[in-house]
Amino acid sequence: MKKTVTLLLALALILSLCACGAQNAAQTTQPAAAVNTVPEDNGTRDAEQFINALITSDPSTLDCARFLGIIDRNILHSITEPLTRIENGIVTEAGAESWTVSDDGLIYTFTLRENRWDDGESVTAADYAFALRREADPANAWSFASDFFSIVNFEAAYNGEVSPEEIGVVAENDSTLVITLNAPNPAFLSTVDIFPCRESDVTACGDGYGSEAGTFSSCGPFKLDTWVHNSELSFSRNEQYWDVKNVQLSRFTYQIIPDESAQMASLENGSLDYATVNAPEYAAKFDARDDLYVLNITTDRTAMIVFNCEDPMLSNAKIRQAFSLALDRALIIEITNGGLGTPAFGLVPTVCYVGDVNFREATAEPLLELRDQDPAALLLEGMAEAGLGSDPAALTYTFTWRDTSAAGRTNAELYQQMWEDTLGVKIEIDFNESALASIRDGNYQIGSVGWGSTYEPLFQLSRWSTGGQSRWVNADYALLVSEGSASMDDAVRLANYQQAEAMLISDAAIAPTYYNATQTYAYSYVSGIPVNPFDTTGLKPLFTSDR
Amino acid sequence: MQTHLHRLFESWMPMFKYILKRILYMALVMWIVTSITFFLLHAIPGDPITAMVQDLPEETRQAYLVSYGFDQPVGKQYLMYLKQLFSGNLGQSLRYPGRKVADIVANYSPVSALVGGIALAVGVLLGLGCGVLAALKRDRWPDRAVMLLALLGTTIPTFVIASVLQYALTVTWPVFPTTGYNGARYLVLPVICMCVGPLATYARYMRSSMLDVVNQDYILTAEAKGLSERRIITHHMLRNALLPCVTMICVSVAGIFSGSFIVESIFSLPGLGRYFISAISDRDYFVVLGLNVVLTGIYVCSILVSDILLMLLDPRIRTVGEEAA
Repeated sequence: MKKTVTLLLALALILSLCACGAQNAAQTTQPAAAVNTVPEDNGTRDAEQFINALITSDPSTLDCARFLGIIDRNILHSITEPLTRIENGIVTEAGAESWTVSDDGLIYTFTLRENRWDDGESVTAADYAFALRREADPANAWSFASDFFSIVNFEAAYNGEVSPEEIGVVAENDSTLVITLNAPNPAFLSTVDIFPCRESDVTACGDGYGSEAGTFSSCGPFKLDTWVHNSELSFSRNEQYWDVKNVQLSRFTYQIIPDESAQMASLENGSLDYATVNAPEYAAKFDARDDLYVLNITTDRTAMIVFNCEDPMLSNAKIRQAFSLALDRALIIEITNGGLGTPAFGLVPTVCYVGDVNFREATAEPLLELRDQDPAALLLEGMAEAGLGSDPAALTYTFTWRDTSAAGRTNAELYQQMWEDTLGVKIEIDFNESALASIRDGNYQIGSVGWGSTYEPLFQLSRWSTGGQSRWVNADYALLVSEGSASMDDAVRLANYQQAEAMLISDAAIAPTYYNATQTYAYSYVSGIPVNPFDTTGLKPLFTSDR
Repeated sequence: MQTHLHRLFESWMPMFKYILKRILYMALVMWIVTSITFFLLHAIPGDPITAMVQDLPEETRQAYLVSYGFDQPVGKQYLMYLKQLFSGNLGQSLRYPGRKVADIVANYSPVSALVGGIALAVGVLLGLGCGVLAALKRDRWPDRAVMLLALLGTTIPTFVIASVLQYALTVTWPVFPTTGYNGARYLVLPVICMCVGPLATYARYMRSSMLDVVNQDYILTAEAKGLSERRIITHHMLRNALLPCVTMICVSVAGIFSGSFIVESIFSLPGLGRYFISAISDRDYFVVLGLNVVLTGIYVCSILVSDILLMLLDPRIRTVGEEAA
């Protein structure tokens, strides 16, 4: 009996060894292909154009007033036609054929183009106006309502003070929409999506509007055919779309796969045509294949350390500067983010623009000026100024960290080690799944957060106008940001934003760590994947050749 | 005739009383479970909107909390929820605006039940078979093999089995589709992953149950009467050994409606398991509570059904039931 068991075990062992051997052999015989570059468009197009793409969770809803996340928003860009879209980082005409802005920057007059819903009816200015009134109605809309607060009466309607009918949006006729703002907002069109919504659909479907396929109409490049929640959405080309001749895909699916190993298996066997691959071990595997190429995409997110400036141990700027300078940003990227990203010495990521000037190219990163200083010496100076004695070892700081997974713990310990080694202080890590709430409420000393941005740097800069998570109060800063944001003069805006950023970073209200990046791996027959994080084109530009 | 009916009624009356009492207890259990879930859920720091939306301006968060009444004291929210529940309304998802909890249950528990049901049936049948085999060949190699497999089946986590199977049978040997829910072929891998657990459990359970029965006096009696081994096994050992498994099967059946978070996530099945687990991290209060009410209901009902079944199968329990009543 025992012999049999031993034999069985031995057999299993041999089999598994064989399997490993076979795999190793396969790996060594494969040529170590250099990572392919984005394929050149050779003009060929497949007769049957389709794409299988990935999303990582079920869309919350495809109701353009109530959606919650980036996944929902991307899908809406494929199936609905906003007034304007951002293509390759530039605001372009979409549902609107053209628009004019009054000299004072307050009145936007849009001329709509001839576009149709998927049942053939015209898309009218009233559909856009209805959508905005619905968004302002406190009864059903809330998620991104604050994006529209620059429209006259929008905030008041949202707070229930006036009727949504009174917001500054008027459909003058079927093809003319006029939107009036409270104050000039040069970032208006690059920040908001103005989607149309048909009143008859909402009346027919009520609360269920947008929650299933068939509860809403499409007027974008594609229409939604089926939606199996938590599994798959399938789309086909909307033949009624005004620009249908430039839509090359005849259909596509979004497969909803939350599990990373399942995502990677799907990309590996071709069930997916492209996917985001951030884990280095998977990336290496796909690098070795010669039928895929990689797109490096700089995102709009900045990772940063926030300091609670109300805390006596952190109220001194030199102490905060010391903590900021003690960080080895390249090492943080290597260890905590799989090597993806760029060290950040400023707040505003490299993808942001003011008018048509790239903010980062025009602005030196403020922290670079301080880089020559010795963090340990800065800390001692700061301690003396703040009356904290002269022994860093006597100081214990709490670092609030959100990720309680094994990898997350290692990452937190990296920061701990950097600060303890360079500054000589003691760091205790508070592992706390609700760290963001603690940081928001000011119950923390040092925390780690990330902020996304919009096309113009305003969104990120204005987070700190009233102190933000750092509780850093600076009236000059708030004034610079608010005056800048209201100026229609790109040069003035840029100058104000530059000064504001310099103030925020050199006073070390926050310590930016890195500008985040991701990688997309795609089969070489796929073209047209947007790489600008602000693009709002959906899957309209994609096509395949020689699949 | 009338006396006969009367007598029948008399003899079943205690059982009806017993069942009625059990139903009242069930209502109590459901209320307690709902209350505990409610307060536990509200004790977790964070709120639905923060869990769902990145980069949220604080004013939007406040407006949201007010619009759903989440700024009210927890006690008041509890009363509001109970009121809503008694009016037969399970509420609406916060994470998925426009989806009613009742619809989520109606649309997605069938998928979980289908996959889980097939897996359970396969697992139970194979498991019982393996258990019987192991018991009959005790301490010989079939027993050892079954016990080794059962040990592996209970110790290897499902996500490992699922990921390895998925990689082996969709990438290395592309036999099955990787993810999705478009027909029978899509169910094979999830069913295999999900039947491993019940298979292992039932094999071990059935084996020990059989071994208990083997040593009973009535088996000795049957042997003494000179019955064939086959007849002893089928008529005396199996019937008695299966009894304890009935309770387990009923409870397992209740479990299939809740689905498997892991298997549904890895194979992108539109089942209830993912809603249930992700709703907790999303702080989707009404979905967690609503699903909990429904699943608790199914669970307590299945326990009642198993008790009634046992009562019918085993007269001794009925007597106890009468005494209790």
